[in-house]
Amino acid sequence: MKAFRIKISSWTSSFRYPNLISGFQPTLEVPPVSTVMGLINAASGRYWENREITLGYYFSFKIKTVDLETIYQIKANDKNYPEATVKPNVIQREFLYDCKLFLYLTNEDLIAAFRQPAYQLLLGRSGDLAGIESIEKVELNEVNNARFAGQVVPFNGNYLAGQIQALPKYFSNTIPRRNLGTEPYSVISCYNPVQSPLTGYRPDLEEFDSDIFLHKFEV
Amino acid sequence: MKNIKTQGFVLIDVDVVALNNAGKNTQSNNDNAIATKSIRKNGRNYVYVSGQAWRYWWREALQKNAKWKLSPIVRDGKIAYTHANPLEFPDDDVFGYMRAAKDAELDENGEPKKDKKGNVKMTNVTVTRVSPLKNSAIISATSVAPAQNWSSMARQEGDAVPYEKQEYSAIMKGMFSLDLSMVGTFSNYDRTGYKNLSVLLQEEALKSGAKEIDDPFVVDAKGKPKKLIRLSKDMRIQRAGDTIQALKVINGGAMQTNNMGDVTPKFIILATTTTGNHPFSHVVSNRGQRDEEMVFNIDGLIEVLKDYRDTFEGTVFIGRRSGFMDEIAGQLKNLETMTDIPKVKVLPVNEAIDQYCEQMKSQID
Repeated sequence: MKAFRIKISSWTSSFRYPNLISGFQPTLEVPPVSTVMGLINAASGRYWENREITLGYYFSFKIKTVDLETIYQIKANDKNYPEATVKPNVIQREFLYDCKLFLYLTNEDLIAAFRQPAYQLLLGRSGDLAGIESIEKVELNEVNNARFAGQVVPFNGNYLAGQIQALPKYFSNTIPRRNLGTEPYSVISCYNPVQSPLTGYRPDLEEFDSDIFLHKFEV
Repeated sequence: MKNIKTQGFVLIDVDVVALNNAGKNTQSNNDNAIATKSIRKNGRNYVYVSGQAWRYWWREALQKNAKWKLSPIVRDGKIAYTHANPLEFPDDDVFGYMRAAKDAELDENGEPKKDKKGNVKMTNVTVTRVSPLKNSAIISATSVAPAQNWSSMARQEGDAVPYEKQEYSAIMKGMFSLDLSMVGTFSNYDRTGYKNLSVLLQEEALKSGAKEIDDPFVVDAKGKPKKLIRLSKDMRIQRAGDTIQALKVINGGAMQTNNMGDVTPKFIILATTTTGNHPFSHVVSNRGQRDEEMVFNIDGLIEVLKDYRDTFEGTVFIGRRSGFMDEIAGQLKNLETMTDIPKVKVLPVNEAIDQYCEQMKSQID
């Protein structure tokens, strides 16, 4: 299969752990599909709707460490609107250092967006500025018994090992944002590869040792 | 409406500082030892300053030097009321917010509802604005081994109280990106991050001279472009210019009393691009047995200038303080004569900032 590989790098990254609101903030070791979709939207400058998306990615980092951060906690009232009560608090937040995202896309419109991104690209939070290193044509070859690392794979039907988290595929375009298509995923870090019985894709232009799982869904 | 961003890269050079600390040092035998923030990679230590801390210094510099009126936080007992008024407060505009606000309750026709006395009915809303200014953390370009400084707090009476802190000398790199097209430009869509203004504030803006312009990216259900609210060109130039100019005088960091460090850039690259991609993240690297020597990657810089040639607008300004990285002065100067890259000008740091800001005035539409 023909595809394009977009290589993006950032100094730091941090991906929110679902379900944890206060206290220590760990980071996922792989961005969820929704984060990558957000990156695509930032590059194109618009919210993609009603289309079929095929994407695969591999994310690696050098080290995971902890930052101290001041947060301002705002209380919500019974209608879920914020009250004007602000409390500063110091928390520990994990982040990843020296990060790379290899994004595989087949849709030409989406690739065009990365040649001239509309907004600044971020790998994680607003401090995690990222840059595009290269965009290249690659051939994805189908392989059986794929070996996965540095990505998330839907748990249902695949039942891979690894940390299991309920992650969204996408977010709605409304206030407040709603999770769209949340389902359990196996989060497979680049440091813990998993041998699977699944079909994956092996890119010919390899800078890492993993096959790629292609996510297909409609938004 | 042009889509342009300022892309910036800076190097700071600090001696014996502890710019951003990480609380108790668990590696020390001493009870009250403070650790500095650092990242360990491949067994090597890199000190850093959180992006949040850099932003804090930046905001302070704008208040103290550019006379910015910062968005006030009014405290009343345990409750703090915050403003989210980017018309009046430039820091709300440039640094973004997510805050609670009061807004008019609207009926089905989008008109404000009135009560029996004819006053507009109010409701609570959340307004959010994505910061047009984004910045990285500031990270040491080489591996650094902080020293443990054994200090004591002593006065004329009683026992001295010993404490430990970590200090280091380092050249540190940081990058930032300012979305020039979004400074002083607000959207009001029912989307997270895009509802910058309440209805009342939007009306106030339009009354006081703000203009409505077409959003180049977002269309409504009928395919027509949605409207953005934009302040006057003068005000936008002022705010963007102040933000970049503040780098000349930025100061801050922990332990200033004992470890005052100069955190203004000793080297800076400033360029306007027509894309959101930040091209300068790889212009310094390191070498040596313990990655202890910084190397300026001049070939890497030429490579991105060539690769992204079409996306640069105007001249790329490079500022270098004399005495800092003198060894690359000649190579940098050579960039001015190259023809297959955008026009480059190499100047002292403050001069580079001034000339870039001058160029920016003509680029903001």
